[in-house]
Amino acid sequence: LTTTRYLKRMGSTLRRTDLLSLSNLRNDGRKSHEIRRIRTQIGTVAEHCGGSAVVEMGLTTVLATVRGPIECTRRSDELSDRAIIDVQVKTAPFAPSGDRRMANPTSDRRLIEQSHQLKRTMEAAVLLHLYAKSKIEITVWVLADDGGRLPAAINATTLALVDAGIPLKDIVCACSAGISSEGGTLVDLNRREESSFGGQPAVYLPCAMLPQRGTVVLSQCESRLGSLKQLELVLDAAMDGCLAVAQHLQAAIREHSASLLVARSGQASVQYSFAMPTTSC
Amino acid sequence: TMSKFAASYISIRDDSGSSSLSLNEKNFLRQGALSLNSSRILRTDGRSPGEIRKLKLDLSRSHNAAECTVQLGETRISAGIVGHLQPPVSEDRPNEGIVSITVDSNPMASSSFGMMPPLTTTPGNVDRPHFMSTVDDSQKLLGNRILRFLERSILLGGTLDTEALCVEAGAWVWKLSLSVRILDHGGNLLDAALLASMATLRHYRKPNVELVKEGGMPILIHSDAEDPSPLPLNHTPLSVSFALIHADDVALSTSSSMTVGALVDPTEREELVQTGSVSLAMNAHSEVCLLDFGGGCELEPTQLKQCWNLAEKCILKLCEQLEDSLKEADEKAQHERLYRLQKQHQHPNLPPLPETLTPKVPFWHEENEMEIDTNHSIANTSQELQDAEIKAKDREQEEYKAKALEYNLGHVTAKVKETDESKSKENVGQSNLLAAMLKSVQKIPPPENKSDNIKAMDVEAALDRPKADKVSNLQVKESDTPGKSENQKPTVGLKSTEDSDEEVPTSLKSEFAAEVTKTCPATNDEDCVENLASAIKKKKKKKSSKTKKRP
Repeated sequence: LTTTRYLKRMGSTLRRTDLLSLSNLRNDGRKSHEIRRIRTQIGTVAEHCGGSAVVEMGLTTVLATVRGPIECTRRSDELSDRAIIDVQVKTAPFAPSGDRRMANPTSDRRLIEQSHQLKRTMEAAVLLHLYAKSKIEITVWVLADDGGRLPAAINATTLALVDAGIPLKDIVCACSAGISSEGGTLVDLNRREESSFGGQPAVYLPCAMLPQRGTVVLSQCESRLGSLKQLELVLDAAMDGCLAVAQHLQAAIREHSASLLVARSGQASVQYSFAMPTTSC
Repeated sequence: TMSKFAASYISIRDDSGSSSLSLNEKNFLRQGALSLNSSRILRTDGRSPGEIRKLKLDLSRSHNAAECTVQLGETRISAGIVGHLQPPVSEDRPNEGIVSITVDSNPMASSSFGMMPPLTTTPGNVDRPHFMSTVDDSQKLLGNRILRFLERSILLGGTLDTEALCVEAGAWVWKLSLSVRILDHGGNLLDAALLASMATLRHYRKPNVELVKEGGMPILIHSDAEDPSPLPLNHTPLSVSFALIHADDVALSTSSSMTVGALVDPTEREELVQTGSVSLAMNAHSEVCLLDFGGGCELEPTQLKQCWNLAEKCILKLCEQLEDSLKEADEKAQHERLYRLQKQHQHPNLPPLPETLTPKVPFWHEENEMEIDTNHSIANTSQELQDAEIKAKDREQEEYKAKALEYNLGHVTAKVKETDESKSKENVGQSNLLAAMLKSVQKIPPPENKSDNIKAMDVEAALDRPKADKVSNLQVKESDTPGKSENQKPTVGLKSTEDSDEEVPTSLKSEFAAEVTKTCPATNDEDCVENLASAIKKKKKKKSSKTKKRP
């Protein structure tokens, strides 16, 4: 049943959701393996911090600032052979996430958990042994939450670390994946898809990887899946999403460094010799 | 946030923190895990990398509460659950019950822990006590991590549906308080905590609720009177954690070696050396419930999938062990309930109790719900048991009739006849009268029969020894039933003593013992309870109907 014939039959009382379901699109018009639009700004808060970045994935906006490497305030925290990473994830008061009312934003256990996960993720990527007895402080502000808070935070943190000039093994890119009600895999879920609607509990798997090394650094899932095979499928889809995000992040970094070169050298424009990455997934 | 570290005392130096792990120990553990010097992976306790430690589960249950203590190697965790009735939390969710999880990590568990109030899912008071400053951040993180792990697998992972905890929509719902206490920190707290919580949830029985019409608090019917029901769990996820130890140390992080050692169920020392960890929760049908790969270490996807396959095998074994322990504990709980009912019937003259177990005050908490205190439960059950007996009486009427007509049970009835000839009383077949007689005998013997009573006892004692062989069968039967030992003495000299009123209760008991062994073949405890309750009254009925039947 083609679209035109369906339209003729339905007349003018056609809903957007009908159109979407006809063409197998999701509720925001994306295909099942399409990630949301990513916009980045590197170096937003330039004066006080070592590095900062804002990342928008669709409508989710996250700001990350990095300070360091600095001396540890508490001597008992410092490690003799490497640096420690201290992460704090905060949500802005004007950015509530759904109907979850947080009693105390500083001690909300979900935020503490996400801070901890972010810290462990970054520990796998940062070359900590270069800065013994120091601390790298990362603060993440969630300014708008439309699903995918943790992946957006990881992406923003990576860019902020690059801006601060801290050496990394590889950039960390993150994306989420899940299973739709029809059974196919979806990439980069928004808030509506993350929460369970229609009685069907959603499958939501955020995943972070190091793209050039091809290794996974973080993957979490708390939904009930049929079997390990399904889990592997979702993980593969998430990794594809991460690779797509990686291309965007790399393009953003190159652009930013090009503009810094321009500012330093005073030229109007800079011809850079390395190839431009493609933006398609 | 940087909290000010105000040390007002010198803390005892702890030997189990990561900062006190010596470099030699670290290298030793790492080399063993990465099999650098040998052909296979070596662990300090001799396990293979895919082996879980020895598991011991200790389950117990009482009215409206259940408890489980898990010992996984050196780690010991105890979980307890208590149920309360309360109005639903919010108006837009009138059907949902509440599950509140609390995790308690305190210095009892490990010398590296400081005093910390338990972390809980239901929001408590906002202001933190001042002694939180002495607590290590890692302990707060660990407590939070366990709490989130449990919350995710139990609430978010679809194990327990909160809508099933509704009693009356919009008015009363169940609130289950699950509290997990870490008793010993020997590594792998996540798995042990989830195992203890799931065992407790499975073992707990929700008491039946009687709704009150005028909107007061519903009455909880005691578990001994009416059979409570288990919680409607969708599935039972259990988890397995791996410690990942990366080959390239931090100092050599530019190397491209991707060897990662994965150890199942890490001990505390292995946890201190690990670079990262993976946890996977699945149920017995190989359905994945929760995946937690928290970073710290980078893994190739193939390695991750290998870990999962290994985890699946371990979890299936764990599930089997859990099921066996649960079945055993369930049987034990039924036996205990039976025992309590027996005890109850030996001491029926207890002071009358209030009708309801809880007063009609909302949110009233019962303090001592966690212990299996037989005296306490007897006091509470007498009222409900009498109700149960009245119900059981009708059943035992039919049962007795069926039994009396069965001729292969003739030897039992013959015995009854033998002892009955001494009592050719025209005792009316009203069990109430007999119950009163029972009570009167047990309380105060009437003064005019006192001498007779004493004489009867003396005669019995004197006849004890010569009659020993004759009544050996009877004695053997009595020793079979639990808690009947006190009846052996007075029932021994039964057959040949002269009849008197005072021997009526004692003879009743001996026959009762024989009856119970006949009617309770000890496999079906459900009927046993009713049989027991009925058998006690049956004697009086049988005796009376026997006297009626005899010409």
